[in-house]
Amino acid sequence: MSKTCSALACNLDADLLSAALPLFEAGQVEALEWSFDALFQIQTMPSWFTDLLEAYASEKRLVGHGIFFSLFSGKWLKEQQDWLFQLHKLSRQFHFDHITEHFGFMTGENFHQGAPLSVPFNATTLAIGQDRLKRIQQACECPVGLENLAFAYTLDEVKKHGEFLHALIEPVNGFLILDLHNVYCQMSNFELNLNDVLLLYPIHRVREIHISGGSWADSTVLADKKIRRDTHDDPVPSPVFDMLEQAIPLCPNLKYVVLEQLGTSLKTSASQAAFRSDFHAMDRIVQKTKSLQPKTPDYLFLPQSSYPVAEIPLESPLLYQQQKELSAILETATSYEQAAALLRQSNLAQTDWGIERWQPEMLETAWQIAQKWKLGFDVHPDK
Amino acid sequence: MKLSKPLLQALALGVALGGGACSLLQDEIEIQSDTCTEQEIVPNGVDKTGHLYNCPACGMG
Repeated sequence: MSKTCSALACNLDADLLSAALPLFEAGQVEALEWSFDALFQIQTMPSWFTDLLEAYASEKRLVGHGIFFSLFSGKWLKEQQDWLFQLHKLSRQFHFDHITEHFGFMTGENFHQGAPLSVPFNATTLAIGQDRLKRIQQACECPVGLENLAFAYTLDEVKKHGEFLHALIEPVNGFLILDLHNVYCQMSNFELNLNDVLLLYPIHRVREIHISGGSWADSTVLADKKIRRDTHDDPVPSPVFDMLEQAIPLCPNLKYVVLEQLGTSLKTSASQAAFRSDFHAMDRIVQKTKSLQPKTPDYLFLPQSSYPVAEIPLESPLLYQQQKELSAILETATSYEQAAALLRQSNLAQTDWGIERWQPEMLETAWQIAQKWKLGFDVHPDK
Repeated sequence: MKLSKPLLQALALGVALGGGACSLLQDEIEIQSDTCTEQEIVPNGVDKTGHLYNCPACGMG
C-alpha cells in the first residue's frame, strides 16, 4: 500500500471551509471527500470551489461520497436515473479516485427529504443492492464502496451488517467505508466492544475510514439509557480516536481517513479551532500507525471481469410498499407508542422486517430520526 | 498536499463572501461583492428557495 491520506469531508459550506482554510493553507489536507449530490437545484458552482476539487482530482486524491441515491428503494425512481447521469457527468470532469454511497433506503417522498434507514437482509434486498451498485460502477467507471450504517433496530442486525455489506459489494469487487463513529454508535447502543464489531467486518475490504462526532439522545422507553446518534454536530469523542488507532493497523488496503463535521456546528471560532484540533489529532494517528499496516500491493477494487447488468433495474413492489408504509408511520405518528401500535397493524408485521424483535428504544430512535428529517434540509428541529 | 497561492487566495475570498452562496446563483462565476444583490447574498448558506448548501454528509442520525 502506498500511503494512507488524512482527508476532509469538504463541501460548499462557508463555515466548514472557513474552519478548514488554515489546514489548506498549511498543506495538511492530503485528500478531499466531496458529497457531489448535496448541491441539488444548483446549476453552477463557484469557479474557486471547482478549482479546489480539480486540484485534488489531478493528484488522484478526490473521492465522491453520495448521500441521496437510496440504494435499497424498492422502486426504481427517476431521481436515481438522474443521479446516475449526473454522477457519470461529474466523473468525466473530476476523475474521482472512488465513489461511495450509504447503506439503507431514504424515508420520505421527496428525493432530498428523509433519512437513511435499514432494510431486511434477505435475497430481495441483496439482489436490488447489487444491481444498483453495478449501475453506480458503470456510471463512474472507478472503484465503488458502501458505508456501514450507524442505526440498527436489533443486535442481530448489527451482527449481520458486515457480512451483508460484503455480499453487496462482491459483484463489483467493491470496498467498504468503515465509519468508526457509526461503529461507536452500535457499540454504545448494543453494549459491544470494538473487537466484537470488527470481527464481523471484511476488514481487508476497508479502503476508507470515517471519524466524526455525534450526540446522545434520551430514551423515554429506557429511562436510564442514552442512545448514541450519528449527528456530526460535535467534535470527535476520544473513544473514536482510540478506535482509529486500533483499526488502522488492521486495514491493509486503507487509503483514506476522513474527518466529517457539519458546517452548522462550526459557526464560532472556538468550534472551528476544535475542528482543526480534531484534524491534527487524526493526522497524528494516521502518521503514527500507517507504518504498522500490513505491507501489501496496492489493491484497486475494480471489477475483475465484466458483469451482467439487466436492462431494466430490479424492483420489488412489495418492498416499496413496505418502505412507504414504514416511512409514513414514522413520519406521521405523534408518539413512539403510536408508531409501535401502527407498525403492529401494518403489512410489515410477521415479515422479514422482524418488527416484533425491534428493540423499543431503537424504534423510538428511528421515529425521532424520521421526524427530524421529514422536511429535508429546509427545516428540522436542530436548526 | 500543497495548493497554489492563487487557489488559496480565491478560496479565502470565496469563504469571506459567504461560501459562494452568491456565486452559486449565477451562470458566470465572478467573485466580486458588487455582482451580488442583497437578496442573493444569503447568510448561513441558505439560498432563495430556503435550501441549505451545507452538506449533511452522513450525519443524518
